[in-house]
Amino acid sequence: MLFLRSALALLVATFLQIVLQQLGNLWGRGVASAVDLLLVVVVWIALASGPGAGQIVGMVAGFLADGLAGGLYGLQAIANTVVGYGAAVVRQRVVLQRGVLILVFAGAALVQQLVVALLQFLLVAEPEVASLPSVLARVVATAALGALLLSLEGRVQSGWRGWQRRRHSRLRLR
Amino acid sequence: MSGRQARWLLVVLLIGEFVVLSRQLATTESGPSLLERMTVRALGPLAHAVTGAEGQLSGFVERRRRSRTLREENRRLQQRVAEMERELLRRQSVELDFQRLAAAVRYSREASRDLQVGDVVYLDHASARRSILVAIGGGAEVGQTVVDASGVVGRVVVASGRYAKVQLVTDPASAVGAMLERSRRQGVARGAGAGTLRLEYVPSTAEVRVGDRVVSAGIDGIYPRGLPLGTVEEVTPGNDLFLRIRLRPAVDFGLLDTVYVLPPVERPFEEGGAPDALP
Repeated sequence: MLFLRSALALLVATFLQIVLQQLGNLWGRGVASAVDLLLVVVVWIALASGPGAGQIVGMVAGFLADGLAGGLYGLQAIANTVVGYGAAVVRQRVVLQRGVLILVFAGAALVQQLVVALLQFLLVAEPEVASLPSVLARVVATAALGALLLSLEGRVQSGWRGWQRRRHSRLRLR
Repeated sequence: MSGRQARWLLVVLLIGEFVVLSRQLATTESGPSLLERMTVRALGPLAHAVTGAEGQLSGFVERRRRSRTLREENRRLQQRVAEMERELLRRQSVELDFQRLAAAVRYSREASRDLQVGDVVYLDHASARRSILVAIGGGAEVGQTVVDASGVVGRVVVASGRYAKVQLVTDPASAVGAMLERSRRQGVARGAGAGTLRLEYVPSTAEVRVGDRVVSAGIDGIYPRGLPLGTVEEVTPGNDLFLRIRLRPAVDFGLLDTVYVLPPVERPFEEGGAPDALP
């Protein structure tokens, strides 16, 4: 179930990321470069499923992002693996309210950018570091999308529970 | 999974990823890894489908929008065809003159070679426009030059099936042997990020003007000679030896749609080693 959910989430996120990039060609690249849907999925899976799933999904999502982007193949994979592991460990060790989880999404975006920048400084002769506004935009966008995803998940779960309650009460009446 | 197991898994995954990274850094001749080629092959069709759907939609909207002006455009194009037919006749006579003169001096030139047409299916925005994914009917090989009607786009760095990843000339890791068309002064055009290029190793004594065209020099064994790279946008004194020259690329990377893949550049000394020393 976890595997199916992760695979489906990654597939949908990759598809939407490509659509977003294509829209970026038409409407300007600002939004397209700020949003990283694969990262959002990594953090979401990590929060829900723990460090093992978080880092494996992070690695796969990173390699997918590297496949779409230029530059060294594997930079995003390392960054997303670390983020997947870190987000899950934070969730395990700190008791967080649902609303505060948004900060985990924001922190994950920041850590991902830092890891990529660090690896570029270590490995590339002329590192291309993202500007501060673009980092902030990515942090804000990731947090907003994380909030949206958590909200949707909450509604789906409460809807599912309500449907099950109604079904049970109908069965009892019979 | 216990915390200890998760930590071990993290270590194993990171080591694996560093191995993938280090294989690229160890040698530039090793080519893309199997994993990278598989990723490009998997993502190519997805990007192609999205681009196709977007193209259909925008094509429909565009056709609706332009239906009123089609008749006027048709008339204008017919005039243009007539002009071009006249121009073609003139050029055919020039060609005949050229052949006659070439025969007289026994001059021969390389026959024009076939181009492959590629559709751009994905343009990477997130990392300062450094690469594109291209669908090419007959596939491509690593190292082939990619151009469009305006000039050099880049070169193929990953080829997998009918999809290829192209490193743009504006990628900071890209370097092209270049020369100023007017003065024939040679240098190296490197990607400067943010969609621009810079021309390096041009001596401070060289005369360079804003607006000078820069073309590929054909000295790097990758890009053929004479392809437009860009125009000089700014010239400032650099260090003591070389000028600092910023170029505006000839290609508008935001408008890339169809590109052309040139045949691989023949390297005469590659197969049989270096030629014998001249007498």
